[in-house]
Amino acid sequence: MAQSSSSLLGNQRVLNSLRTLGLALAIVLIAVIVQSQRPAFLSPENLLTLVRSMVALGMVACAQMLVILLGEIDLSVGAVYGLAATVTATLWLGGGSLPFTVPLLVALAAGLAMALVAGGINGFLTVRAGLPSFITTLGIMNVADGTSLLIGNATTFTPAYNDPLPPEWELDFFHGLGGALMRFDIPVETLWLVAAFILFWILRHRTVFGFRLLAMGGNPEAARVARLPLKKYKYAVFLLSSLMAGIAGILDFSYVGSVGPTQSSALSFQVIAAVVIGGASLNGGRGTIVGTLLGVVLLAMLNNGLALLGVGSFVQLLFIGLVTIAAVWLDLVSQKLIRSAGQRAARSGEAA
Amino acid sequence: MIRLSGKAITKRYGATRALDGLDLDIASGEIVGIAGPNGAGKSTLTRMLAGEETADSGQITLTRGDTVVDEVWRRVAVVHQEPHIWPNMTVEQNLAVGREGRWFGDITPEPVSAKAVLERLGIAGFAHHELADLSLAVQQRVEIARAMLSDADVYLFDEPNSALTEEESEALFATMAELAGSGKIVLLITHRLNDFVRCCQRILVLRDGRIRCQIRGAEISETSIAAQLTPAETAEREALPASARTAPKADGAPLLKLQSCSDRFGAFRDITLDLAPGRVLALSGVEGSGARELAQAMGAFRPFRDRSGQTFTTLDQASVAYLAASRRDTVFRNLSVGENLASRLAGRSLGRLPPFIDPAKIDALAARAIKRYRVKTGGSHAPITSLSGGNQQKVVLGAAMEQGTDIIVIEEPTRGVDISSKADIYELLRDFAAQGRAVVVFCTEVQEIFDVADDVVVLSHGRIVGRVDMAGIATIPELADLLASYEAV
Repeated sequence: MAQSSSSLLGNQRVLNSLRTLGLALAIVLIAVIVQSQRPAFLSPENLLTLVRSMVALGMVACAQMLVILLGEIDLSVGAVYGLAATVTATLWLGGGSLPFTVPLLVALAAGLAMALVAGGINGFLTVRAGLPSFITTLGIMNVADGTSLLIGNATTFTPAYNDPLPPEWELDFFHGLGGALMRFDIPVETLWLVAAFILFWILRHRTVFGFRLLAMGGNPEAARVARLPLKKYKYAVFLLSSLMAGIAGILDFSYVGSVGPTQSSALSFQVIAAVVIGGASLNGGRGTIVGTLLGVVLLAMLNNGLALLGVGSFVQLLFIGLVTIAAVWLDLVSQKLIRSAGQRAARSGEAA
Repeated sequence: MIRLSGKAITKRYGATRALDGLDLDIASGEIVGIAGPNGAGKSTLTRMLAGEETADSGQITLTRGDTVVDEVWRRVAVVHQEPHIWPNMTVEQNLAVGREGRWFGDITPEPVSAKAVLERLGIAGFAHHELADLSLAVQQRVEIARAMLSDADVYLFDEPNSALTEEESEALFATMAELAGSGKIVLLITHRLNDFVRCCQRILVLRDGRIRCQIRGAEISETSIAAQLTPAETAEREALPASARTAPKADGAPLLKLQSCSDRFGAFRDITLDLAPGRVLALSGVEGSGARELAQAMGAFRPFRDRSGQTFTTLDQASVAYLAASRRDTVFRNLSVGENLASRLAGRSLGRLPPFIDPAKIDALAARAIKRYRVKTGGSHAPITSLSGGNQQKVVLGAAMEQGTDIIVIEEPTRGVDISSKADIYELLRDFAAQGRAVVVFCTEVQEIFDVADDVVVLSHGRIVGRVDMAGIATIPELADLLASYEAV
């Protein structure tokens, strides 16, 4: 009996589920507190708002988790999110700095291509030039923001009221991408979020790609000796990260119905906070998709709950900062406790 | 029939010749030992076989029957001394990295053979534990398991059993014999001469980047290997152990007293030890014996417990300077020679008005120290990285000695150091002790103990198993035999 309980404690899957459980409990706790103060919290309308607010955050966070798993970071996602939407809007609708327009599908492809270019540059500078990704992506964040402003000329684009009005089918198609409402008023955007979670879960937990990311992030030196394709994988995660940011940018554009110069780089920091709250280690080698999902839920719920409670955006910001620090700290402490239990279990197993 | 051969292989790093015309010819079915002192070129040869280095001239070739294998490293499995494993993954996952087999699904190693290997190595119970939770011994076995599961022609074991117990080593040797029996080439590098005797049919003795001799079959014994490891010239020059060359036995109260002390993590237990002034104490023991950890504890780098369970460090008793084994942890690579020499100092030695520093004063101090510690350098402003390993080590040692502590604790004082600097370093250490202070060294080589120590304490499995007064030792083989007899217990 002692043997089985000790080996259970050392078992990695058990440890991971314990940590996930802790995060889930925190989410339930927040929900209970907010609900007790504001009964509207769990109403269908508010839940829809809540889920909707998770879309961009969640999609980008999944890819960011892979970057962080490899021990790198991508600060440019917020800017790329804005860039893809702005490029698409300018090319499609005109009115920015560009003297011509193109059909919607071409514009969409160009927007995503622009995101991929940003990811490619991130990868190139990190892999080939050997710059720390913190610096690379910080630089590209500003470059992308600047490019958005230049191309879009700080215009706010609204397809439905544009002059000239795009063809009917283009408007419908674009609206259908993310903004259209399905049964029970659920926006199409949420389907993208669900799809992203499923795809990234498979990628992270059921493919060699995710498996090797875990290895490369955990011990790059051993990965080098085992001749794993570290450089290719780095390119891949930066490209994925930018691509997801680009898709999320366009989807939000579709949902909101307009895009303007105030697209926020703040998204980057929300995304990183969510990934880290979800248990990923910035040193690499640690991070799960379910954890990331819970991190996203927790963050979105805090934003939503604090808004409902009416504390004001200043206090909201302050609170989110504190919660991020507290969550990571708590995770660290509990990880230490669980780990030492695991080590004790392992040692007693070794002695036996 | 597999054959691993090479002719006149050379490899230089700057001015040092790591390999200097090495010839190899090894056929399948053999377990071949590669012996040699530190810096003989063993690790260079290892890296070359693993494909991490290419030779400057000459080439290692691998032939299977009549065909020559293109990329030799693809057919070589290396068990590294410091395990190259993934601490954030489970044992099972570690086995699968790099040879996942399929691109989708739950990634696990090929279950039947993986289970067999894990059971053989006695770690099947940890299959789902994360490596960070497991001891070095298990991690080393995971490294071995990874090699066993690879389909290679050449298996190179670099100190594979430094963290294994006697029985585990025995099982490992049996596995190695099986590999050789199935027509593979098995190479063993180790510092434990006894292991060579137990498992090799042939020993290649590597010295100064070349194979100096081969010992075969019945001629293999610890004494015969030890004799070949020590070059004849130095054996003559150092006919007397260090302790006989200077006046021994300074009387006086011990600088440090340990009373049944134990490590907090169980690396060593129940250590009682007095450190007398004027003496150089060598701690000897294989990796995992606790000798290294005890040195760190005496260097106030690792807290430990006394009998009552109270945690403390040796700093409570005496001032101590501790020097880690790897120069990566002791040299400030971004600083000059002079700055390195001053790096441990503060206050008035760096300037008249502390906390402000006075460059002229540091220069003068550095110039003095460069002379005193026999550092060969272009000057105190030369970057430390322009120095040879031996001279860097003298700078590191000088910086610690300038501190003027009661005790210096140093791990592997001549790791990667050339012969002439070695002699200087031993003399510096002995001079330091002669001032009524004390030196503790953690040594991995018998030669080194012989050259520097007055007393030896031998550890095995965390306990002291033997004490040697070097005054009673006349030759290196005698010391080697004695140490081996303690460790074998």
